[in-house]
Amino acid sequence: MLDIIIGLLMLLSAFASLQNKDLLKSGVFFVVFGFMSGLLWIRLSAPDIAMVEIILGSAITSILIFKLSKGVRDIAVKPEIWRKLWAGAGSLVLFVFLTFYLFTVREEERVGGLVFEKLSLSGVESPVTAVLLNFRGYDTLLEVGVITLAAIGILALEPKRKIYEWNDIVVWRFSKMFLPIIALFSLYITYLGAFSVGGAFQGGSLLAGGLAFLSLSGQKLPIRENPTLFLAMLSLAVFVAFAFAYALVGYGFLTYPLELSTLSIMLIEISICLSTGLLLYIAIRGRL
Amino acid sequence: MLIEILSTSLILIGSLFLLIGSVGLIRLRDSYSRLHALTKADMLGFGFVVLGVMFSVSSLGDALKLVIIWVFVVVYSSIVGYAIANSKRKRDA
Amino acid sequence: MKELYYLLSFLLISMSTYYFITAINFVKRLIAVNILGSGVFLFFVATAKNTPSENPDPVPHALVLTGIVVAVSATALAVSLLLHLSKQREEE
Repeated sequence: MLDIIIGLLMLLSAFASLQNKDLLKSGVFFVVFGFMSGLLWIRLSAPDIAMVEIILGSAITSILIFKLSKGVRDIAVKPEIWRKLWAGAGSLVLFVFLTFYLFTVREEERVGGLVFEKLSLSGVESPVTAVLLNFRGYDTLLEVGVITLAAIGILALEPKRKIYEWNDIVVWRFSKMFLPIIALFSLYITYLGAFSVGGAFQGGSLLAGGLAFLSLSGQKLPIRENPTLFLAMLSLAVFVAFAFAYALVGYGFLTYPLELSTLSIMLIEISICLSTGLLLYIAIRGRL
Repeated sequence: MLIEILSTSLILIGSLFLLIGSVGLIRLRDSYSRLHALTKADMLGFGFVVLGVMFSVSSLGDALKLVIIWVFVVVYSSIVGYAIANSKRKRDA
Repeated sequence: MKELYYLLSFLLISMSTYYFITAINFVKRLIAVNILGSGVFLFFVATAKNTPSENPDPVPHALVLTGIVVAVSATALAVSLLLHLSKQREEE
């Protein structure tokens, strides 16, 4: 019953976000959509995903959307009728095509049973962290590479003038006061990922949230540029170094030996937490 | 049993206050008065919900964690309310 | 009951595809892409819950986690590119 209400709210807010003419209202409805989506993840027994979705998918994406809608001029062109017609026909065909899957839905045991069998060999006790950093470590390595590349691209497109002039001293004072607590808590959540809900990306997104609040006050982090860049690019370097080191020693590319697996996972997770926070801060600010 | 009734009624009172805050957001005309209604009613409603949840929680540590969450939400919602009002004042003048 | 999650996911995917093709404004298209991503992630997580044992399957959870972070960084790069593009169009 609760799921039906959350699902209806999700549909309504998605429709209101896409249908609205005003860009600001679309962004606000998108925040509501992200929040409802996070609630749905909790109902579907995925608390790790809920944390990351509410912070990154709802809050930070909407900061980026508001920044974009402030910086572009509104294009007041209505689409032609034939475009609406073939788009409507195409999405209707897509929906009907996808609905055929509903007839073949089976409740079966997929790879999950294998994960829970080999969980003791992975070095951590939480199954999501084990899958993310040990069993499917390639995906996480390439993901860190993708976010680093995106940050490099954003730094290359640095604007010469500011999009908005924002200088709020009260927000700056409060964010400076809370940032140490947020940093400590994000490291704690990263450590907690080894045996409970948490992990590298949850801690990194929490740190990114705190730094986003700091950047909304108009000021920047009081660290010089070179250390910030170093810490931001650190996780890719650490991850690749671990992968190649284990390959050179003889275990295989990104294959942890059994005794060192917990230590390697913890070090990689801490570096991912710091770097993801700083990279998302660079992405929100648009400059270093 | 009595604890359940108490916590459910506190959560219901809290959600009633949150609903009143949202009605104020829609019906009031000026942005400042909307902010006033929203932040005050939301803080009160959230406080009642947290109080109601605190009674059905098993250990004392979890109850203290809920109080810390409430403190953070109160502080942040007041900062954000100030920031919105300040930005509107700067945009109007 | 569990088919309702799949139905919600398909509705989100088809609705955002329609708006992605129809909208001319950049911001609307970016929002449509993000809602499309959320619909696909909902499909994954609903599949993960669809197991006979009581623990959900953690492999789709890890894939969706990766997907959310990649979607946010791609949105950030898209915002940067679109701001640069609109500034160039203004100067012409």
